[in-house]
Amino acid sequence: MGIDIGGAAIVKTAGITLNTALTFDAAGRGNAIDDGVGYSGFQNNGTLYYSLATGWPTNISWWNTGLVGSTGVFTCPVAGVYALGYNGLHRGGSGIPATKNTYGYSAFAKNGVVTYYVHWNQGNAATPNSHWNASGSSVLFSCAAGDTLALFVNRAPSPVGPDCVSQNLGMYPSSLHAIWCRRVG
Amino acid sequence: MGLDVGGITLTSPGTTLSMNSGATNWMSVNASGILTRPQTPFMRGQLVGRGSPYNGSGGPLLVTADVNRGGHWDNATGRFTCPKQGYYMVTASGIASATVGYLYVRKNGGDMHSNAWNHTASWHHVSLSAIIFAFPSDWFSWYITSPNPATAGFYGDGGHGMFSIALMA
Repeated sequence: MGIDIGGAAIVKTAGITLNTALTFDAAGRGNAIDDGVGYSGFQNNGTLYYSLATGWPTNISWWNTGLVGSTGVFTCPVAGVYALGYNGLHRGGSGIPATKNTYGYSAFAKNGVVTYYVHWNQGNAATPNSHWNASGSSVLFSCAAGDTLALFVNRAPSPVGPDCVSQNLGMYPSSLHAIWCRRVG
Repeated sequence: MGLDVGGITLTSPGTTLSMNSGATNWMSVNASGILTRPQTPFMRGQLVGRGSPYNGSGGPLLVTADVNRGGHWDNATGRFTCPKQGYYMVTASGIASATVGYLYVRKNGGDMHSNAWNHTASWHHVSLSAIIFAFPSDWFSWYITSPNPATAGFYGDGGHGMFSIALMA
């Protein structure tokens, strides 16, 4: 037995359910359990340490609604605030010629336009650095339905550091990184 | 005075719309439309008194919770047991000693997401965040694996890192 408000029902079971989607259990813990908008995954066993022209691809998704993994482009199905983030290993690594710069950039783009970017510097010709550096960042976007979001690493429209593409620098494309997105408001 | 649905009341005291079970508030929407859900499962903690560096010796990291809403985190086992189906935000960060190690978040003991460090200098920043879908009774833990040297790990004597889990809306 519930209460109908113009077709949207408030129903009491063990807890309470609003409009069949927002559920509160008997302890009052509420969430919209069917709202799977977003994704969480990574690019496993890749060969490129920088992005595709469209974004950072993802071939492993633990869950996904809205992402095309082969392009790394997420399309917002509804308007709202979306959280987008990543973490991983930025490559200095081994085998980088001492004369090359190992620094690079990552950026978040909305509709293909970079909004924010960060930068890391693992060494240069004078002070080469062969370490792997863990890093990452996250951001919130306000989006309309149909807007697209993507992560870029060392690939335009992100800034591109010297030598980063020719030396295949950027982020280690393995299970040792995570990229995620979800509507949060 | 409010609307009673099987013992759950929908009321509007002042300018806030509230949903309560007895004296316990489940949800409120204030006059600005800001929604709060104070019963949301949530924990936040740090590594305290574990020695340093600390890697859990192959077991889950025994994070000490500073906030443990709902009591779903167990300091003794290093597990967060999900009370409800949904998407959980899981984060971890710390500083790691030389030279190599891998930081994992696992669900029911299986790898979900990871990061790593490989650096000759202590202390190296490492962070990991992900959004993980879970059913009731699924559990999350953080692990450090394959430390090299075997003693490599996170700073474990308070501060210098943070761990958190929350059910998302």
